[in-house]
Amino acid sequence: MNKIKSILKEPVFHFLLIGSLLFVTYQSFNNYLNRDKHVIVVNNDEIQMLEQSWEMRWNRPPTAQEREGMINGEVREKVLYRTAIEMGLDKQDRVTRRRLAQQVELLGAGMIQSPQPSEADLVKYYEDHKEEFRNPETVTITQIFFDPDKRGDATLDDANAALNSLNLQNDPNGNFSAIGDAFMLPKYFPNKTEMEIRRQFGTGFTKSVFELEAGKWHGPVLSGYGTHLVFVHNHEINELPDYTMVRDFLRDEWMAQKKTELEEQYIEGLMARYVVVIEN
Amino acid sequence: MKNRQSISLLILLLLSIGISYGQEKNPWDRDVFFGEQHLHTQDSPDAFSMGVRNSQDDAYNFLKGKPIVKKGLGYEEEGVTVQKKTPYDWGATTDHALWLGLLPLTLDPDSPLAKTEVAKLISQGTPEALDKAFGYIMGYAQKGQSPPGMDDMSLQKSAWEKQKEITNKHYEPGKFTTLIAFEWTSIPQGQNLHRNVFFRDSEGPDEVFSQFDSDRPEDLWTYLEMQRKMGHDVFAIPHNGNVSNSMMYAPWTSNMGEITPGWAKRRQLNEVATEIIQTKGQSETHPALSPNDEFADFEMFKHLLGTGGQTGQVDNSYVRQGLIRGVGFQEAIGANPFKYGIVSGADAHTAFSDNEEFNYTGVHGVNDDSPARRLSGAAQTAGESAILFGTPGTTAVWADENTREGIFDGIKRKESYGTSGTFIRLRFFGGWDYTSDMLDDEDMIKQAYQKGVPMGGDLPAMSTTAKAPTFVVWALKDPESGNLDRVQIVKGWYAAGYGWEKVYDVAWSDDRKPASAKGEKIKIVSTDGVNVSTNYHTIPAGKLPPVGNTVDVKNATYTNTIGDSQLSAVWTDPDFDPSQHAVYYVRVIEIPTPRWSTYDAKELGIEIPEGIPASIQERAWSSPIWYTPTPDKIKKAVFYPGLYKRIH
Repeated sequence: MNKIKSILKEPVFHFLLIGSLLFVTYQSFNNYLNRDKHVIVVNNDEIQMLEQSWEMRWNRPPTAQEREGMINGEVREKVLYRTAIEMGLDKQDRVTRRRLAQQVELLGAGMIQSPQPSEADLVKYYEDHKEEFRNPETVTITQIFFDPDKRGDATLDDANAALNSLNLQNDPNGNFSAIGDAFMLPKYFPNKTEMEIRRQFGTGFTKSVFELEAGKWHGPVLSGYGTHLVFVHNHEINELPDYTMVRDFLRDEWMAQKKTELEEQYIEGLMARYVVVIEN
Repeated sequence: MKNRQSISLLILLLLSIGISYGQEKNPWDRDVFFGEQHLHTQDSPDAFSMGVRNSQDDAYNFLKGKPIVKKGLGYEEEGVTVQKKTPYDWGATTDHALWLGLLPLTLDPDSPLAKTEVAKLISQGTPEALDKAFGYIMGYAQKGQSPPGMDDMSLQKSAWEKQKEITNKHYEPGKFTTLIAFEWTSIPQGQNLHRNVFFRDSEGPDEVFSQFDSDRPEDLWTYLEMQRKMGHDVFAIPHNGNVSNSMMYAPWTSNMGEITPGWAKRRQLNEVATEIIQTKGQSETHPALSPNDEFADFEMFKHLLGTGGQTGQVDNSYVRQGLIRGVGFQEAIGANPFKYGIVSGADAHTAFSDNEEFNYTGVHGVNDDSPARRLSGAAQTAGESAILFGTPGTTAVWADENTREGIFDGIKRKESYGTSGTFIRLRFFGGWDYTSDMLDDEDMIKQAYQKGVPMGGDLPAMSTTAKAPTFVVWALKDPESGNLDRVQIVKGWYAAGYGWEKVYDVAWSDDRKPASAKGEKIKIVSTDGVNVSTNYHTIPAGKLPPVGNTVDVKNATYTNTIGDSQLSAVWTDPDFDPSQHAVYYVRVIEIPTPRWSTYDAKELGIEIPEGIPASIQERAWSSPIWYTPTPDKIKKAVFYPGLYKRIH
């Protein structure tokens, strides 16, 4: 008790007491004077951030004028923002509400990390999704051209006659230089996609060729050029890439999908905290 | 023992050389790749001012055959999806170097341009305000200045870097090739001297070269030569000689100086090809220059750009005359300034290279984005009504592979040709020992390469046994377009100080016979779908009668009942004089098919505007093959002091 009394008598204590009183009085007075004013601070870090983002975007530092413009823009934005909050726009305005909601979504997305998949996870993912890795359908064909401009009305008969002898010959890899007419495009087209065949032969021909049975001669098949006999060596539908070849890609895909799932769970967790009433 | 070892080592070495050499592709195994070498996007200020909002990304995706949504301020077809029926194999966007990529930045509130005067106009968001914005920047351009804000070099650089990035992103070697490119847009007094600039590598230049740097081609060449020194292989391709007002292929330098061998060689090195057709008309030849060529009057675009209908001078403005002049220079000064390969282009300002006549979607933004706008003739671009613009042309390149090296080197070798937009396949070779029976040989193409040169080449020295050069030409139709009417060889040569030209029909469809010495009167029956009309027409002596016309105008259809799918010939020049410098190129003509305006008229259910042809004959033009006599063949040296005054 004595100790307290002696402190109360200390001049240093008086000095501090009077000082604090003066400070409090000044603060209140000052607040009173600035009662309608809020303080907007743009600090050094923020200015540096502005400068950096400018430089990243435009590959050079801003000029003094542009720097000033940016800072003024920042101040302006803060003022407008504070006003909006005072007006309660964050509570009423749909756009603001949606934007804030998105922010929470993004924050959630930033927090959530996908775990690493196990080998079994990846194998299962591959099994479930392998159709997506399938290469486009291709055909390997040999075609022999019969020029209607040279053969006229005999074109189809000539082609049919040649078809018979080709079937008898039964050698799709033979030499066909004595059959058909000179044609600028090659005879043999290995592993071509639908688009690749279409670019060379046009629409109608392509459609037929992809419907023809492999391992035999067909014809006459018509194109924008004339008449063809076509041997389909193979029609490749099933080229699935090996698991090991796509493993890295599978991992990225698996993790991306997992992350989406976890994000959805996070939002469901938030939903669970509310009772939802829909007054329909 | 030692000796034997070294011999076997030598054999091994030789073998390995042989093997590595064998891996290189033989020229006869080259394939042809169709593509675009002239296309503008919203990054070109004039395109942006026409409301175009489709990006460079959209442009490449469209070329690749992907569906793209049309985006433009004031478009009637805003939101409509467009897609090529047949995709391209390669392409390059060529936005104007001056202010490249700057106007789209005005819409970005964070960009340094956001507060500028031009941004204020653009942000009003009406086509009228855009017009004003363009007028505002062009006001500065005429003074050789940039509007405030748009003179920012680092901003220009960052826009160019972004373009290069997108071009590199779309490059898929073997599947789709892109080239880093831009347009140098020199247009003194409305006289078009434009050239596109193409790079072989993925790095490209740090900075583009615009007309502000210089509007003289010679200075552009210096820029190109410097780029090559820095390791960026590059060439330029001039376009629209047809609206150059006697400037593009003029026999004098850009400041009216005499053409020296050094100047000619520089031009040849820096400008490897020239554009023969694009949306602003064809530049092959003009009826006034080629009065005997009945196919000369095709997709003409006569007025100088933005001059309010001033007709340009024809002389020195067309490729054929330039090629012929070129061999004249070869004779006179020993160097050819106009040794050009042939390409075609779009020059569309919409990001869409819409070469397909039946699939045309307009080339100048808000001025022609819908059928109604195209046919109304209300809006004009550069002083011309939309109806007079054609669909883009297509460039074909014979190349080892579909890569940057393949396409760039193919054009540089001049083993390229241009079409009016269809996918005609064309082979053209010249030599001294070709025989007419080689057409039936399985390995004809191999023989053609081994015994001669492909399009773009120089005939080898004349063999002692030969009397005249022989040419092999082979054309195959586009399977999605009309049959072929005929194949022609156009020959130009110099004699007695003048240039001369002659067009030979060398292969044609349907067993037609050229008219006899007296000429022949023929009956032409045509129909517009309802009425049948009969006309009589006189075919001059020696000329082939027209192939006919199956176009049903009202329904915008045609049938391939006339014409052939492929035409070929081995042709020997019947008028050859070994002492004369000569140049030869091929022109392939399709049967008539509907012009784009006929498809539009059908869609709108209206008549096609008066004076516009209902059908056109699509075509292809090869790069030339040149003949230069060896000194012993030239009868006597002739000096041509006044060469530039002569016309042919």
